[in-house]
Amino acid sequence: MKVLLAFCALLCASAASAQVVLYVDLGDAYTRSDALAGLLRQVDEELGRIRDEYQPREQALRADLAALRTSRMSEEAKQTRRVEIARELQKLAQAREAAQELLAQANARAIAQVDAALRSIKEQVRAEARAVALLDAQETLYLRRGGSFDRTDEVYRRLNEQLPEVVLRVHRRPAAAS
Amino acid sequence: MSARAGIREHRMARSPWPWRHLWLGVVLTLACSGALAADAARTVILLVDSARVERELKVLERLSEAHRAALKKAPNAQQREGLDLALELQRSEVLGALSEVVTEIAKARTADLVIEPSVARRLELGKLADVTPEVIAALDTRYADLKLESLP
Repeated sequence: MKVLLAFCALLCASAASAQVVLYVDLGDAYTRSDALAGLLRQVDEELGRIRDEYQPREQALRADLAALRTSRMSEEAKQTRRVEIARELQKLAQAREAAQELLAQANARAIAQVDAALRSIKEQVRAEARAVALLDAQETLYLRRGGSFDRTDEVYRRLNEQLPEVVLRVHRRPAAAS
Repeated sequence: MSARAGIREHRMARSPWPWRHLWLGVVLTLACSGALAADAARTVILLVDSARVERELKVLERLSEAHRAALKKAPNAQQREGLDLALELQRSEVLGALSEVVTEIAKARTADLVIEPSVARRLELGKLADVTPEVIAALDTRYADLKLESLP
C-alpha cells in the first residue's frame, strides 16, 4: 500500500514539474506588426522627402558645373565658380547626411518602442502559460511551426492590439543649405 | 478493535476484491492520466552542439588533410589559392546542410525545439536529449564521397 501511494505521489510530482518552453518567430515583424509596417512606410516617405529636398539643387549645381566647360567666362572666373559649386555640393551632401542621421535616430527610437511592447507581451504570454521561457526563433536551431508551443500568432495579435502604430518623430534642425 | 473498525472490516471482507480497493484504483488512474497529460504538455526539446559538430565531423577532417597534402604539391600561388577556395566552399556546403539534417532529426523525433546546449544551460532546463552524435553521423554519411576538388 505504501509503495502504491509513493508511486502516485511520484506521478503527481512529475505532472507538476512538466517543463514548458514556448517560442516565437518574429522574422516577419515588418509585415505582421501593424506598427512596424506603418513605421516602414513613414521611413520611406521621409527618405523621399529628403531626396526631394536635396536632389533638385544638387542636379542644378552639377548642370552648372557641366555648363562651365562651354561657357565663355574667363578661366579665372570659371575656376572661381567651380570652387563655389564644389563647396555648395559639399554642404548639400553634409546636410543630406545629417538629415538621414536624424531619420535613423528617429527610426531607432520608434523601433525601441515596439521592442519594449514586444518584451512586455512576451513576458505576459510566458507567465500566463506558466512556461519556463519564451524563446525567439534566433535562439533555436529548429522549431516546429504551428505547434501548441508556437506563440507567434498570439504575440503578433497582442502587439497589434496594444501598439497598433508608432509615430516617427524626426527632430529636424534648421536647413543648413539654401 | 473498536466497534466502528470492526464494522468496516466486516464490510470490506464482504465486498469482492476489486471493489475493496476501488478508491485506490481511482487515485492511480487520476495520477497516471495527470502524468500523461503533463507529458503531452511538455515541450520536446533536443540539443545540438553545432561547435562540436564542426569539430568532430570526419568529412571536414578528411577535407583538411587532403587540402594540406595538396598544398605541399601545389607549384604556384594560383593553385594554392584555388585549393584554399575549394576547401572553404566545400566546408560551407557541409556546414550549410547542418540545418537540414537537424530538421530531419527533429521531425523524426517529433521534437518541438532544437537548441544549443548554451541556451539550455541559460534557461536551466536540466537534462535534455543531446542528438549531436546523430547529427555528426548523418552529415558524415551524407558527404561520405566528398573529395577536395581544386578550383581552376
